Amino acid sequence: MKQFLKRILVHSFFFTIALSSVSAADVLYVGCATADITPALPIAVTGQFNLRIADKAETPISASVLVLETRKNGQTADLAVMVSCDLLYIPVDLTEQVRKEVVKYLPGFDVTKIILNATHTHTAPVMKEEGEYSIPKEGVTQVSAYRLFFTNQVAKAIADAWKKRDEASVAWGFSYAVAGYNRRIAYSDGTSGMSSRTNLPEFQNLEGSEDHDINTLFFWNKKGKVIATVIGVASPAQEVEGRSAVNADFWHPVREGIRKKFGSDVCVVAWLGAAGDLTPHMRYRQAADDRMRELRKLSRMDELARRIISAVEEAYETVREDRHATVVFEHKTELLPLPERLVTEKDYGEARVFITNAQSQIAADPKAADRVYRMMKWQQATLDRYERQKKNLKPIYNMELHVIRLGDVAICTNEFELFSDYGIRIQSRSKALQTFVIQLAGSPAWGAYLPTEKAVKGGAYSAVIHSSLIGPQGGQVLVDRTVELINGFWPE
Amino acid sequence: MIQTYEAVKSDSHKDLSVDHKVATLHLPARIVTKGEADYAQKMRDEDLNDPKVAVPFSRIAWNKAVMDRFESQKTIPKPIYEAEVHVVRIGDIVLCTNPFELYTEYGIQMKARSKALQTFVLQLSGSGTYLPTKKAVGGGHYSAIVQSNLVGPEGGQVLVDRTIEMINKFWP
Repeated sequence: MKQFLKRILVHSFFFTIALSSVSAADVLYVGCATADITPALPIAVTGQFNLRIADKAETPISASVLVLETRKNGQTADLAVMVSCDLLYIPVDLTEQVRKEVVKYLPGFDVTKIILNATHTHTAPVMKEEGEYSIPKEGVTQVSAYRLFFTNQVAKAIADAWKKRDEASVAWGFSYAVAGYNRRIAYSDGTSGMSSRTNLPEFQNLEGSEDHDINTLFFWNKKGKVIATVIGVASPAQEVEGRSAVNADFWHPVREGIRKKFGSDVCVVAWLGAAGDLTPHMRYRQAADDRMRELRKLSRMDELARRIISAVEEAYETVREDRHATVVFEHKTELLPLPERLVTEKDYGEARVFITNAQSQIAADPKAADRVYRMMKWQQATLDRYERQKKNLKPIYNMELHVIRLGDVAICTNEFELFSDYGIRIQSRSKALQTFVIQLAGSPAWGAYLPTEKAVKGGAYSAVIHSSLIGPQGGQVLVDRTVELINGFWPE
Repeated sequence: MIQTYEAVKSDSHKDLSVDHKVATLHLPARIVTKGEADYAQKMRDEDLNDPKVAVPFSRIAWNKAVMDRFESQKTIPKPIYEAEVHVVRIGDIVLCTNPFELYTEYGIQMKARSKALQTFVLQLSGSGTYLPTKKAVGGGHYSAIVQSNLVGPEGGQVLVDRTIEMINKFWP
């Protein structure tokens, strides 16, 4: 009998050890804050090839900070700091700048767990100091000054959110809204256009996918009040992209609508899904859509916001009782080497010609810089790549990749304007119940698209060599490694 | 649906242009190649001769139809499929029908090129076989293999072009 009991005890001991080595749910802590990053005016805004100086802020722009931490036995088990920003993109050196600033507030903090992502609004300040636009040196807020302001605001907000974190619960939701449309148009001759016409006999099909999923996360404090929502939308915030103004685009009315429902202090975090080939603009049946929103007495931005808010509310009503105060939570980050897309001699030759012409135009009339400088620098980058290729025939770009498990959902990031097909590949192969794909989480350059093979064949902006540092080969590496890491959270 | 109703309920119309045109379109049928006919025969024969497999009758007939099409191509090398198509204008909108399981791209082409404010595309107004795109035929598999289609991409483009021609005549 004694031997039997001893055996039971030994088996129980090893069973317990085995259990504790499998990921266990830990207590969730959440903190959040919203930083106002509206600039001093006037300021140059980015996203178009022509220089635009904004002398008005039609809406505020903000950075929303969400801190996630789990604790086991009172100690931090893992953490993530997610900062969504009303910006076109986040240059990778800006992320580093913010991380360095955070350490001043939180010494010893693991800053590698801080992720900044952009909503891709085309009416936000230029963030790269050199080489994008020929910005006047006088009478306009300079890029360096704005970057400093941004860094300070965001670092303070991160520290604030971290210090305020407290026990919380989370629910994940899923719904649909049409806010993003494929903008790559394929024609019968095998070419493609970007945001080009479809009412032509040559129009064949939309070249790529669309993704109408709205993935959501809701966070409650201990008192049962909603403190933060995360909204994942595969649509870049560029409905008002051509304006010479500061504007958060459709995220502004979305935030206002969400705050009307949940309270004015709710943090609304925007995660832009894989949407490199998507846009909020319509490429066909626009008149029908315009009529409907005019009947509703809504602007286009308000209409986009209406759809997104509807989807969020629908999901919230469905999941509000399915909250989790303890979750399996893990955050992995690594530098993923991606093969760069190679510049051909033909690419080089064509860029060389353009640059020479642009330089002549600027020499003849300095005001021409407003029109051609950006395009010239864009193509100059291609020449630089070609020169580097001569010394390194297989250039590699090391992309910072983050993959997070939060309960049943996975969150993954990339640095590109990732074509939707790749996002769908990741979601299809992911073992997670829901997978949030976040694009533009740090970026190597302005307009760093990652196109598909069919897009490269079709050509046009977003798929030409100047548009993409990484091509389809690298895109597949990105998908495969991201899926590998995600699925590692759900072993067999 | 309810949201849409709420938006449009005050914009109802009593007097409006209504026009209904019907046409029989002569669409080039999808050609069966020898390779496809031989494969269909192989599959048909395997099903007929395998007593262990629970074979649905329809699969045998499905493959036999491909063999028959190949045979009739010997006397009619450019077969035509006659498709009844209706185009109906109701005020600012138009309905257009086709008898196929029409791949979405064709519907989007119609909507993009139509002069109507809104275009309803109604598939399966008739017997129904798939009408795939060129890339679908290239990809293969059910709905895009020859057994699944009487009309292929060539016929699909004719369907789109003729339907658009009929629709846009309502808005000269």
